Amino acid sequence: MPEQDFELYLSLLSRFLRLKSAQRGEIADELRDHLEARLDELAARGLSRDEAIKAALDEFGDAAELANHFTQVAHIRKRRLIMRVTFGTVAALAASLLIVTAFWPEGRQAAAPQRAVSQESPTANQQKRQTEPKKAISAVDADQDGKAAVESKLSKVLEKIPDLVLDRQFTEAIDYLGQLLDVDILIDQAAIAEAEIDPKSTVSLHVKRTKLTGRTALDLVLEPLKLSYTIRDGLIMVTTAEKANQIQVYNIRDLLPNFDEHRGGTGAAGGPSVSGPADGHGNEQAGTPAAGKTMMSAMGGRGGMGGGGMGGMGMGGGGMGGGGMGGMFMGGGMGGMGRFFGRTESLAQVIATTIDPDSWNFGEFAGVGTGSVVQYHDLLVVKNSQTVHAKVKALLEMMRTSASSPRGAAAPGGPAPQAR
Amino acid sequence: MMAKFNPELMRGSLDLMVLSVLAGGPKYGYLLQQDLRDASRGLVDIQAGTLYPLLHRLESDKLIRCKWDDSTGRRRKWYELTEAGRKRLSAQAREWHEYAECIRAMLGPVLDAIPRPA
Repeated sequence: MPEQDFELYLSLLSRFLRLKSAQRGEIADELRDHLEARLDELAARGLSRDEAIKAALDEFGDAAELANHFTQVAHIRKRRLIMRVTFGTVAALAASLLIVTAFWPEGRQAAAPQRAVSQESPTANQQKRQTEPKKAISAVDADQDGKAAVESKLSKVLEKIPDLVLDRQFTEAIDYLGQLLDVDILIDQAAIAEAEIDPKSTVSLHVKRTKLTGRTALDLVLEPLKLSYTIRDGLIMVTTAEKANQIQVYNIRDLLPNFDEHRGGTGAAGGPSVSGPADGHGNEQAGTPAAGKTMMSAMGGRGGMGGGGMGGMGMGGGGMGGGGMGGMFMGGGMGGMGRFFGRTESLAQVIATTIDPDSWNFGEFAGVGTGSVVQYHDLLVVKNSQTVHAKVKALLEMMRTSASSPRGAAAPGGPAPQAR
Repeated sequence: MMAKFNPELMRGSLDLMVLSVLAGGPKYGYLLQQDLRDASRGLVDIQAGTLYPLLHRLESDKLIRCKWDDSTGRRRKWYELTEAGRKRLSAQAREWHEYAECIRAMLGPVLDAIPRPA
């Protein structure tokens, strides 16, 4: 039995590794080499093969934790690369917004853009946002609080069962997990039927010597069946990965600055024509570090966007003009749009590469996740889990806030990145 | 024999230890682990679960680079210092030396007050 334990350990590890298969293979090869070398030495000391395997495995530690370390290293590297590529783009977006707000006539109330469709935020919330941006932000927080209790239960390590052994019918297995996690788990029967999963089929999961969190245990049961879950109203709903993804449409009109148009002085129909004086260029440069900083805080740590990120947005303070240049592009026409197209594509890229990159079926992670992000004129259509939506929302808000913060408040010092 | 160091204490210096052992020539993970143990007279014993992510991080920071060797029948990943790694090592070695001196000076009076274990 211990003979197979190492292969089991490796397969468990690679299942946890959210990396491309080539990278997973290399890590497995490296660890296998280490293990063999260790076994030789332990055998030379007179340990039996079984004892040696057990001892060597203990030295590797928890598979989930180890995988997590590897994954983090890989993602930090990826993010760094992406930062280099997209930093300029984001900075340009923010800077041009900054210019527009800087020259916006004093006291003129900007109309916030209406979000076209939103499954989560009721219209009342939207209207509130126009006048009380900070409250709107805390409303988003509250949105998350509903899930917080379930999330924290999912994050707890299942201390009592170092060895999780499941050999049960699917529905019973889910019930059992629910008891362990102390949370109600419902099964979306229609979705299960649609996915042609027999609720009476047996789920087998044997995890030994690994401290699992509830979330991982649930993932381990659901993933092989291509199922996922959503959290709502304090309970967990098991459904297909497809259905767990929600579609949400974000109006990003205000984040599509007509950088070129304003600099060219052509101005779009329906909005004030803004043309900066010569030193306008300097202003954008001053603005960019602030934008960069906010992006950085958005990227720090996995899933750290919830609370922390929101706090940062509050600080951005000042008149958050609500990104009120909506009207400006109304009559822009196709010619104008064509010019922004490239930039919004990169906004989609910013989102897919900075927020849970492996949850997307996009770019380098094509085929890895199931989420999608498509830009249609000035709308961004995002399909992904609730968690990712919360982060997308926060990221967009952050971009709006950093772009509309007073230009004098831009972070002093620091090299001004290339704006374009 | 003295007990192994507290991992918390070693946290900030593990990178430097690994770089310094690699300064002696290319090594694969297991060998590096042993060399670290030997070089520290058994006081520094990094677990595989800590060592490999650390190596991967140093590699992604371009302080070390790797080479695969398939000649022994088993795939083996060798690590060696890069020029940047060498620079980092010498810069940090100096810093750590000064840090250790500083701690030593600070703790001197405290240690004098404690009777040495027999």
